[in-house]
Amino acid sequence: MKLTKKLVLLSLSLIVADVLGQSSYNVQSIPDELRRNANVVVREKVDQYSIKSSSNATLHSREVITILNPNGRKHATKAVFYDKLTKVVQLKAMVYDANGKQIKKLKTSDFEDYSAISGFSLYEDNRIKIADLSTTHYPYTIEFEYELDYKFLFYIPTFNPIWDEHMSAQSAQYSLLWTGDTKPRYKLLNLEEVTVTANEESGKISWSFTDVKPFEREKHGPSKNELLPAVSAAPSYFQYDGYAGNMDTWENFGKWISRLNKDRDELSVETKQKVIELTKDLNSVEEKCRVLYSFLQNKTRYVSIQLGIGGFQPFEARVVDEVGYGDCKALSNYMVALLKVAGVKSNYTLIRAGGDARPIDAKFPSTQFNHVIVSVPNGADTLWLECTSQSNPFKYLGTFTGNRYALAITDQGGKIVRTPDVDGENVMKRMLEVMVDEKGKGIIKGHVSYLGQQYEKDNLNFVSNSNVGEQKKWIEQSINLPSFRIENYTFENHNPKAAKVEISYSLSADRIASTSGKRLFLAPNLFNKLAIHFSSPENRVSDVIIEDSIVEFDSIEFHLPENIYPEFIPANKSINNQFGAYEVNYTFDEGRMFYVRKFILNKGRYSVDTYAELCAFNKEVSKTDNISIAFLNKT
Amino acid sequence: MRSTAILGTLLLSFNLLAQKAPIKFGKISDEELNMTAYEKDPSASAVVLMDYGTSVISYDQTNGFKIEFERIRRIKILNKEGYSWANFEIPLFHRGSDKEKLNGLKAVTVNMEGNKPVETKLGKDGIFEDETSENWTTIKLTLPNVREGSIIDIEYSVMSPFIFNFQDWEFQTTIPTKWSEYIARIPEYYDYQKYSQGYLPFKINEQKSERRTIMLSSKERTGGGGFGSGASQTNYSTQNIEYNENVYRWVAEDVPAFDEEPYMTTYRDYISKMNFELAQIRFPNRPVELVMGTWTNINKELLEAAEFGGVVKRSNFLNKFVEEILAGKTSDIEKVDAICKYVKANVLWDGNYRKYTDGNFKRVLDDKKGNSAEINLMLVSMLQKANLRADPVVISTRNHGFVRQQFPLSSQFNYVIGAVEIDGKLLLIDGTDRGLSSFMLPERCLNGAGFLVSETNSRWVELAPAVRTKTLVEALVSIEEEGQLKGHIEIVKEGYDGQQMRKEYHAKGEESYIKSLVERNQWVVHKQQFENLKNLDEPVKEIYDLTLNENLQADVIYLSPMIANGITENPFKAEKREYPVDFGKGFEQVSMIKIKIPKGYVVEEMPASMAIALPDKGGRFLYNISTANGEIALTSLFTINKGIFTQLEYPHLKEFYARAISKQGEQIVLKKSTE
Repeated sequence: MKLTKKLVLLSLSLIVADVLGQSSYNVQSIPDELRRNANVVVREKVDQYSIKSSSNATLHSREVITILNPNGRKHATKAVFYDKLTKVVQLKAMVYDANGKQIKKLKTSDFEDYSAISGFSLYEDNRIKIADLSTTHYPYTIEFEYELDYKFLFYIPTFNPIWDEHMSAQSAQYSLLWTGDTKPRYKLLNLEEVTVTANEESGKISWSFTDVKPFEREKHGPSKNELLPAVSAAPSYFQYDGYAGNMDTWENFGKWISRLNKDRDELSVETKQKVIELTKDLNSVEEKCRVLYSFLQNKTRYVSIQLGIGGFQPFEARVVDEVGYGDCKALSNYMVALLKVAGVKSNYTLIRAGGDARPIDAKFPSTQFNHVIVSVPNGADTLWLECTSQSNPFKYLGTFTGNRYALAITDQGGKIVRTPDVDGENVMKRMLEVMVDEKGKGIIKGHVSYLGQQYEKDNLNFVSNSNVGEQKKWIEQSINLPSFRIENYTFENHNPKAAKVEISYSLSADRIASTSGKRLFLAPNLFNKLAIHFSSPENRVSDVIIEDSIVEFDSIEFHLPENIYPEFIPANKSINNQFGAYEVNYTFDEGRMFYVRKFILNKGRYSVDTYAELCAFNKEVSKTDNISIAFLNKT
Repeated sequence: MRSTAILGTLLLSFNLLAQKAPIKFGKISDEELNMTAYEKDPSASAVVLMDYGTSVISYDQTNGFKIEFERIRRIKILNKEGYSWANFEIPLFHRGSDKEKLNGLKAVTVNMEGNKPVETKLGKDGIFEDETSENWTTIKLTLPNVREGSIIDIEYSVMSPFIFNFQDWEFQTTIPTKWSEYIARIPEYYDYQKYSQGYLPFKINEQKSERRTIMLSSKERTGGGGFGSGASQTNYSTQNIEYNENVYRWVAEDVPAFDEEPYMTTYRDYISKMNFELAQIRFPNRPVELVMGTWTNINKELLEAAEFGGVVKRSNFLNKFVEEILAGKTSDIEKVDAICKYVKANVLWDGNYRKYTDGNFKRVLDDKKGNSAEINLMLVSMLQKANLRADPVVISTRNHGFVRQQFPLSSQFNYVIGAVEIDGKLLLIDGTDRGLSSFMLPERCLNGAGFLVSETNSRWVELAPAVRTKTLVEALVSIEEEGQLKGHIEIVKEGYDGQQMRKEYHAKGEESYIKSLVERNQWVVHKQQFENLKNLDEPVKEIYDLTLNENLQADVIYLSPMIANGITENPFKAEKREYPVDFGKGFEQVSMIKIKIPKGYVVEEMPASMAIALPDKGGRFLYNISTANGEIALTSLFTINKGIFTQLEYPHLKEFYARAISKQGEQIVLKKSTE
């Protein structure tokens, strides 16, 4: 009797253990609030970054994620990147069905191995091991585990408990381990909505995230980087491919970069002579820069070749001199060398480039950059030179690198600086003269100028340096009329003097206005109707961020057919608010109509409380832009 | 005893090519150096001045026949935009221990400095080798010292043991080409199908035959057999083998730059190019080895291939599944549908376009993932096992280019779908897209014709869409007293329009879907309802109660009646079209809109009704508007009936769009009645 009971108990506990063993990956156990609005649930993530010495570290990562629906499929592709200094020590993956039953198992050799050259690069020594673990029946669960061995200590991957929108996490843990005095610095980010507990002991600190809810990015809302909870970390003392340094301060980090660049600014005697010749009669720093920048633009071209100290060391100025190409590091280093010969002190400057790049954290010295430019101190002013473009106007940074922090590498080490914004000059001015007949046909003569960031509108900056065919296409695309023919046009690029393009054209169009019985309908705003970007004031959660200002002036003179008059004259409009301004004026005078439009949108961050107002503004502008006027014949 | 060994020594192979390269590496004329613009196309950023290639199949006793490809290319860089032409890639194929070898790579940049040409040679630091994928290595190079005005010469040869991989030749690229020449020298033993494509004529297209000799030398050793007969003896002998060599020469001159236009399949379909495909090998005293020959052969080969016909025929384990799936299904249509649904539910497409399977169907079902061949051949196999008349159809997807039926080359295909005949009607099926009904092909498959592989009745079948693509909007709107335009709208989407809608809806979720709809149309949606979002066999339907963003309080009301489904922008803006417009499929946009005339108003003016058509029934636009019972009734019907329009039809198409757009933009005028 006793024995039987024991046996029953034993077998029961076996069953329980078995059920538990599976249920950890069973999707039933995901709480509803983590499923709502989620495509993927991180069931468990345990990452451990261990610093072994100032030149060696490992990352062990294990994650279990459940893909709930097809929108989460992209997260079923798992990959690790490696290179000469990063070794894949361990790599495996498992797939489980909704009940937690294992349906697939992959080992290292089941992963495909590719060269991981980014599209714009000619050469990098990066490789990738990748596998698509998706399967047919949702939901399913993926377990992915790997270990990397870094033969350096330089950057520490940022840890995110969730790494995309519509992703939630039940449990995520991150530990940083170190030995001796290699303790890394760290920083926690975006934790407003998150529960996290920290635990520190000797040689180890860890964080536990639980129940991280999913989020959704809103249009013109904060970027993912502002929303993803994160642990950033960086070493103090470090060593990368034989180069030791310290990045406790920007100053020290800069000194390390200086060491990489040391003695790489030698130029040939001929080039030195050439530089002296070009600049000897010039007095100002700006003039010297202008001349040498032009010299650089004519002599070199950008080719991305990521080699040398993990892609951080430029190849020597002498090499650029010989071959006439280089990547951002090589070309910037070359520019600094040229300026030095001319007696101009300039700084190799690290920056994070990209129109929508996350701003660097200036208070947390670490490697956060992906690009290099040159800054030239000029009295109270600074001149900025983008060395990878053969066609940029002198001093022009644009949306690629403008208006952000950067790290100038000076003789005293690194120094945080800020690049300028081109604001105030982002102006589009369009003047049209329109001859329209009683059938709605006519001729349009236009003159349009684009200044500042408007110079980048629909890739205008590229097109303006491209061939005439592309330029004609650009003009065609900028005109929304059902049918028209460009009779002639000119395309004037003010580069390199200024970021400005002026376009003139003359076109004939069959349907500038439409007729309907005795009326002629004409929408005076021919080409510049604002679309609705902000609508439905309900349900907005986040602030609106306008990255770039817009300033637009349209002025159109219509020559109307004889004997017609407007049946009704729309009211002039004038709006001024914190977002910007909008003005429209209609004037009639002896067979002519003048239409004048001004639209200004101020860049900035607008609190979610003002969203309804912004929607109303957008709607009002859009509505007014779409007004058409009916004309009747006097006879 | 007599032993014979052949010593490989190639004593004589070819005469020098009768046609010598028109340029010599690095020898550049002053004219070329001083050129600042290309006369025939002033917009060009760079020009290929010369591209000269030869492919010769030659023999040596150690390696047998192999292909030697030589090329010299000269480019003039005219401005900075042309700098990308200073980068160059050479792909090299390898399989097992056999590989293509790059020899004699030379490249140089020549610039005019002062009045003197200055050369900068490509150094080792400008050459990179990339292991691109399992069978391909790419040699990448970037030239030094490139400036506006540079001349770039590149010369190299590739020795290939892969007789099937005879180099094709592109006469056209995205910059203009002054002279492009290709010479192919092929021994009579190898028969290649050659076909040219593109829209440009050759300047020279000639062929001749030349006599060639291969001298084989052999060494024979005799003796050593008998008792005390002394040392063995060695005799040398030579043997001459004579054969015919076919020499082809093609030249294209002043080739314009290829310029991409909207609605194209793939760049590769439109450029001028010569393609080669090994058809057969005929050595003397040996049976002819057919590599490619006729469609009949291709049909047979596909049927016999283990990764194609074989796997379809066998795989008997599928019987069990088929039986389960078909339980209770009576009509053939039901059966096809059930099998299709089963495959879609159980195998996920891995995104790969293939015509052969990589593994057996067991593995595919276990893995729950497969390429297009694995999915669709399994589909065919299951249909056959259900005693339905099903066959595979090999096709070329749109991004892979047109199929040329006059050339029996299996390399023209990159994908396979299924076909099943029911009541004398052929239905085309594909199991790779879960967002499509069983009887709809993905749009990527709508590309001309496919080849149906069958033991009894192989043939070409047209890859036409089985269902119409159509969006129908029915709306009833009225102007409320406060001047708001309110309405009830039903949108029905069929075919690829339905697929598109479902895809967007599922990707965004209902809330975001409505949000973007609202933004596009400036509507306020009060109530929404969706039908058939999951049922792919019926058109998907969206129903909205909404306020249209209008303020219509005035004595005179102007109203645009095309409240939805109108065409807002002409996709064809360029004046001229160089290549055909390829929509892939016809489509239809129908709007039936009723507007209640508000109390106290009369219709003062209405757009005129109109009907236009494209030549040869290519399309039709009908706009019909009338009033009755206090309602304005508008019907707008925009139809494109065929997938492809030639460049000659382009002006009509452009004008057709223009007229429809302006008509749809016209307005109604309502006036407060005076009484």
